[in-house]
Amino acid sequence: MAIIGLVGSNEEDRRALSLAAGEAGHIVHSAAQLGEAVELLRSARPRLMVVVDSKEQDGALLLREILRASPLMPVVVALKKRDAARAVSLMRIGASEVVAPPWTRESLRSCLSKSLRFEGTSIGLAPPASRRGASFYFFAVLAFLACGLAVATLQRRIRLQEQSERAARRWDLPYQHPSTLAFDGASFWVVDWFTQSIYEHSAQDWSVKRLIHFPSETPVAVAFGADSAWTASASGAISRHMRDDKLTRVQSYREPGATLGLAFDGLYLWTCDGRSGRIHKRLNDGQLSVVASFPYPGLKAAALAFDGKTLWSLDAGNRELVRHNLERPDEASGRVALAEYRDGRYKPVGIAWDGQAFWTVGESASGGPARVFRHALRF
Amino acid sequence: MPASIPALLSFPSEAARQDAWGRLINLWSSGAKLLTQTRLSRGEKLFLSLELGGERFESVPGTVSAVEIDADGYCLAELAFSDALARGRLAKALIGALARS
Repeated sequence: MAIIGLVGSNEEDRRALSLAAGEAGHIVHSAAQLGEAVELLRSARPRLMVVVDSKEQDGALLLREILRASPLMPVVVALKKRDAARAVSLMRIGASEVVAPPWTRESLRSCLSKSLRFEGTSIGLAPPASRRGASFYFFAVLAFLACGLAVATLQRRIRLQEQSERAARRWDLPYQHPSTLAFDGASFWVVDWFTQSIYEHSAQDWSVKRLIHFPSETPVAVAFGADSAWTASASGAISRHMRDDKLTRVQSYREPGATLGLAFDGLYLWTCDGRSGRIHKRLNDGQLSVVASFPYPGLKAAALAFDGKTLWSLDAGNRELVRHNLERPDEASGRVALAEYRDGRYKPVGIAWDGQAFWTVGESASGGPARVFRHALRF
Repeated sequence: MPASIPALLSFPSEAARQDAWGRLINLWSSGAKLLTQTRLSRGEKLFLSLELGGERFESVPGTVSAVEIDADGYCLAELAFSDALARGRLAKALIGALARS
């Protein structure tokens, strides 16, 4: 609430403005003439003056005289007729605010309130930093930090998950000298050349299900068919076995080379010769006749596997898996480096496909237990 | 801080709006903050006429980039000036005004 002086020659204007200002909560002292207004400034000591700009009484003249008498007095000019240019010119000569008709309680209330508290213009070459801008940057920084924390948490989770997955992708075996790995559709088979034994392992937890000794030979490779199994021995012989409890040997074929890998694709038996560096395609007949022979497209073939579509080999020299074109196995249609063998702690010796993933077995370079790895391949 | 700068607001003819007036709370070369009883809306185009340091700026085109209503019921609008020439002139006038203050 404030004491307001009102100057207007027309009584009706004064009454309308007094009513509107009174409804806004102010005490109004009115004057009809400039002289009365100057007297009112001294007697009523108003905080604000309102002058009516009309044809009968020039608002600019009243404004100047009031400001001459009281230079810091806020003066609101009430226009009888809306005129923006006139309003701006009145403000330039000192009006704190100009209110246009109709003079409503709302318009006058906000106008008087603003005039009582208005300050000057702040200028600069660049926009001032607003609180909204500051809060925007605050929240942007907060969001950035939150994102950073979320990323760090996510990375930690991924790292822990990878560690967990790595732990679940490798198993140590209870022997030290593996020479090959195979999968027969239900179990994994690993040959240990030192003990001249072949181990059957559970596909679920790699526990040993069965152990079969081959005292008369040193097996280095094994492969399984629907009703037969084949082994290759260090002496160079390839033997056919029954799929009974003891893998009873049925027939043996003397080979001049050193067969290191065997794979059966359902029709042909594939062998790889470490000495000649060739892959042989054989018929499953009485002599395991070689129908085709191809140079190995890698450094050192250690084992073979068939994944249901094509032939794969384990290149122990380059520590990678090689995918072959089944029609022309001397063409490598893909190579996957085996990170698990990069540090040289294990030497890859066997490979198997279990229908979902490739597995390899490695011999420890330091004489520790053999280890199998599950590989998630990506092309 | 100089005395407040009054400004005349005019609108494109297609807006079919009467001229209005207001005061500048802040003024910089690329924009201003305007206090007016006239309701403005975000994205609205207008022309601002003002006087700064004795130099007149007529119909500087601008766009309302932000609007809020203050406690007195006034419209507090942030304007962005789009005319590079006017912005250059304003910058010069502002440098002069800042040098004098």
